[in-house]
Amino acid sequence: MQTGPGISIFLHGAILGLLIFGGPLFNSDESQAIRIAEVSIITSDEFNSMSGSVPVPDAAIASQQVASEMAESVPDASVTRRTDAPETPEVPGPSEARTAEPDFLPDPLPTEAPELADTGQEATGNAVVVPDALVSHQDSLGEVYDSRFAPLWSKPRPAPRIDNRVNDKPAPDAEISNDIQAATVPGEKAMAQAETTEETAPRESTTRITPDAAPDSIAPIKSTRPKGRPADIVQHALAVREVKEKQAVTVAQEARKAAEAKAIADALKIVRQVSANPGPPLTSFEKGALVLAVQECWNVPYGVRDAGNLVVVLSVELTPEGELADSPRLLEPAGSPQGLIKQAYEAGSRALFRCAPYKLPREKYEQWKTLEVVFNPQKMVLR
Amino acid sequence: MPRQLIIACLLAFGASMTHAQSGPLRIEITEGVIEPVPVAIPRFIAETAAADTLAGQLTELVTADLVNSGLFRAIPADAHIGRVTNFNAPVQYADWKVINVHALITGAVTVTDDNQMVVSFRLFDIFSQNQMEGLQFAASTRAWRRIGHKIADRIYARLTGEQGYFDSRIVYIAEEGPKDARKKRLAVMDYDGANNRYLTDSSSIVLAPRFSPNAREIIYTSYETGVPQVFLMNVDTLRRRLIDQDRNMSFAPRFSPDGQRAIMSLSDGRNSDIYSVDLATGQKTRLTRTPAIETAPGYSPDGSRIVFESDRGGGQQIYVMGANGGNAQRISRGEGRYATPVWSPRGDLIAFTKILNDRFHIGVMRTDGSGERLLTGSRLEEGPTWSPNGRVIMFFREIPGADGGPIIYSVNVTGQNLRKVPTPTFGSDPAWSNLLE
Repeated sequence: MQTGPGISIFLHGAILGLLIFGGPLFNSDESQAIRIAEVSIITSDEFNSMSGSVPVPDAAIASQQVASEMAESVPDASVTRRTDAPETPEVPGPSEARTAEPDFLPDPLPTEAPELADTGQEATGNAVVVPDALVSHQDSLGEVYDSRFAPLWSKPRPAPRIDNRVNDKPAPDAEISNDIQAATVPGEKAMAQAETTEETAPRESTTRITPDAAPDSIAPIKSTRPKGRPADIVQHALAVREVKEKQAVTVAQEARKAAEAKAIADALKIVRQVSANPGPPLTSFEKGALVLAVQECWNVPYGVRDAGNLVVVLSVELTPEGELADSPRLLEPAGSPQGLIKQAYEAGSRALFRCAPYKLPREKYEQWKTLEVVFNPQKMVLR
Repeated sequence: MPRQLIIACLLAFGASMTHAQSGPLRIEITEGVIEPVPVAIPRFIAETAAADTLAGQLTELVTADLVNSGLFRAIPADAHIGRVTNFNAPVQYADWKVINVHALITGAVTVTDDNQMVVSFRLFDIFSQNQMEGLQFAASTRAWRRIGHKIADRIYARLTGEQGYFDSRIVYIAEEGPKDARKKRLAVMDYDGANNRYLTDSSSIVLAPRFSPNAREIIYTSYETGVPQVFLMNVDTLRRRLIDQDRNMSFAPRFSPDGQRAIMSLSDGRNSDIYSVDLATGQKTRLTRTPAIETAPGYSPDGSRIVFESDRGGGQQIYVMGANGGNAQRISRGEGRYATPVWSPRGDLIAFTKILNDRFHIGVMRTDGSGERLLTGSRLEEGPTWSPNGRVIMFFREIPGADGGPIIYSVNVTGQNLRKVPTPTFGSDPAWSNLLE
C-alpha cells in the first residue's frame, strides 16, 4: 500500500469532514448576534443606587443644616494639623460669640462649593485618597461626624495626600529644637495609633537674631477655642458698622426731613392761599386768543378812530359758557358816557357781544369770569 | 433731589400765582377792523294808505344815504328773517342777530289829508338789545327827502360818533354844449344830486360858487359885466348884488366862517392880491402885498387863519397866514405845483389840487403841510370841497374827448368810496354847504 496517497486521502477526507461537520466549531460566540431589546431610561439616583454609590443629599440644604448644627462644635480646620490631642472645647455663649472681636482674620472662604462625592471618593489610581483633615475630624468626633454633612465653607484645604505606594515623599521640615533627635519611623501597626515624632535639627547658625519662640506659622501654639466664628465676626462687624452708620445717617436724615417738611408746608400754604380765590392763570396763548377774538369784532367808528386818544375800559361778567352775563359797564372814564365816549363805549360793547361766546378754559373760570377790556384806538387813527 | 424739586415747583407755582393775576382779567385791544356796519332797514310801515309810497321812498333814501357813505352795508330785505309789521312791537333780536345785523332801523310814516306827514324811526342795537335812537319828524310831504336825509344823519351820527352830511346841498357849475361854446350856469342840488335847480341862465360865464355858512346865499364870480366880478346871490329869491363896487377884477371868493365877510382876490390887471371884504359895508382889507399872483383864499373854521395859493416863491404853492394878513408860511413842500387849498370844517386838514408830471391829484395834508396824502389822480381834476363833517371830499374830473366834460365825484378822506355824483349835465366847481337848518 502506498503511504503518500493514503495520507493525502486521509487529509482531504479530514478537511472535508471538518468543513461539513465542523461548522459549530467555527461559530465563535452567540454574543456576536444582534439582539434587540428595550432599554429603559433611569435617573441618576437610580443609577447610583444600582451601582452602590452613596446617596447624594441636597447640597444646599445639607450644608445649611449642618452649618447650623455644627457651628459651635466643629473646630477650625487649621487646628487639626496639630498633633496634640485636642482639649475639650469650651463653647462660648451666643452673646459672647457675637460681641467678641476676632483675633485674626479668617481664611478666605472657598469660592466654589466642592461636591461631596469628590471629597470622599476621589481616587488616585487604585487608592482612595482621603484628606487628612477629614480623618482628623473623624477621629476626634467619632461617630458624630459624617463627612457628607461637612459645611462647604469649612472644607479644609487640600492637604498633603498619603499614598502608600510612594516612598519618595519629601521629608517635612525639621522642627527647631535644642536636641538633635532622629526622626522616628513608625511601624506599619503603629501607623494608626502610635504618636509620631517629627524630626528635629540644631538651630542653624546665622548672623540674624531670631527669636526663640518665633512661630513658623500663624497657627496658634495652643489649641484654644476660638472666640467666635469668622463668619459671625464678619457679619457682626458689618452689622455693628451698619448700625453705627445708620444711626449717623438717621440723625442727618431726620434733620433734613424736618426741614423739607417745613418747606413743603410753607409752599403748600402759599399755594392754598392763592388757590383759595382764582384758579390757574390763563396762559399767554389763551389771553392772545381772547384778544384776537375781541379785536376781530371791534369795528372802530369813524369818530372814535379820529379821536385817537379816546381810550375806554369796559367791564363785563361772563358766564361759564363764555357768554355775557350782563351788558358791559363803562369803567373808565368814570361817569355817564357822553359824546364820543358814548360811541366808543357802545362800539366796545358791540364787540364784546358780537364775539361771544368766548372759548376759554372752563377750569379757569375764576380767572376770567370778570373781564376788563381796554379799547385803545391809537393805532387806528385816520391820519 | 425730587423733593427739593417739588418744593421749588410749589414755590414757583405759588409765586407765579401771586403775580399772575390779582384782580379781574384785563386785556387791551389796540387794533380793530374797519368794515361797513351791517344794518337792516325793513320797509317803513305806512300807517295810512296815503303814506305807502312815501314809506317806500323814505326807506330807499335812508338806505342809500347810509350805504353810499361807505360805512354801512344794508342786509337785503329778502335775507331778513324777522318781519316788522308794527312799529311799536317788540323787536325779535334773535331774528336779526342770526343774520349778523348790528343795527336795525324801523320806521313808520303817516300822511294826513293836508299833505302833512309824520315820520318816526327807531334805531336798535341788536347785540346789546336796546334802542339807541328814536325820533319823529313832521313836515310837508314835499320835504320828504330832507326828512329822509335827516333820519340818515341821525343814524350816521349815532353809530359813528360824528355828525352826518346827508341833509346838505351842493352848488356847482352846470355845463352843457360843445367845448368851444360851453354854456355854464349856477345850479344847486341835494348832496346826492337830487332836487337840481339852476340859479342863473347861460348868458354869462360863472365860476367858483360858494355857499354861505347858512347855505342861503351864494357868492360866485360872474363875467356878466365883461370882467370877472364877485356877486352875492340869495338862493331862495335869486336876488344878487356886486360885492366890489370899485369894479376891479375880483374872483375866487369865500365866506368867512361867521358869514359876515368874504375873502377874495382882487386884481388891477397886473397883479392880484388877497382882500377881505365886509359884506355889509363893502369895506375891503388888503391882506397880501406882493408882486406875485395870490388867489384861492379860504378861512380856517375858526376864522383865525387864511390859506391861499401863491407863486411868490417862483412856483404855485400853498401858504398859510393870519386872518389879518402878515407873514405867510409855505406849507406845501412836495414836488409839483399846488392849488385850490380848502380848509376842512374839522380844522385838521387842508385839501388841495396837486399838479405833478402832467397829472392832477386831489390830496390832503395837515395844516402845517405834513402828512400829505393823495386821494385821487387823473389827467385833469381839481376843485376839492369838504362835506359838512369833513369826511368826504367832492371835486370834479374832466373827461377827455370831444364829448367829454367835467364830472363831479366824491371820495372819502381815506381815499376810499370814490363815487360819481349824478348831475343832469356836466358839472364842475362844486361847493358843499353846511348841514341845512
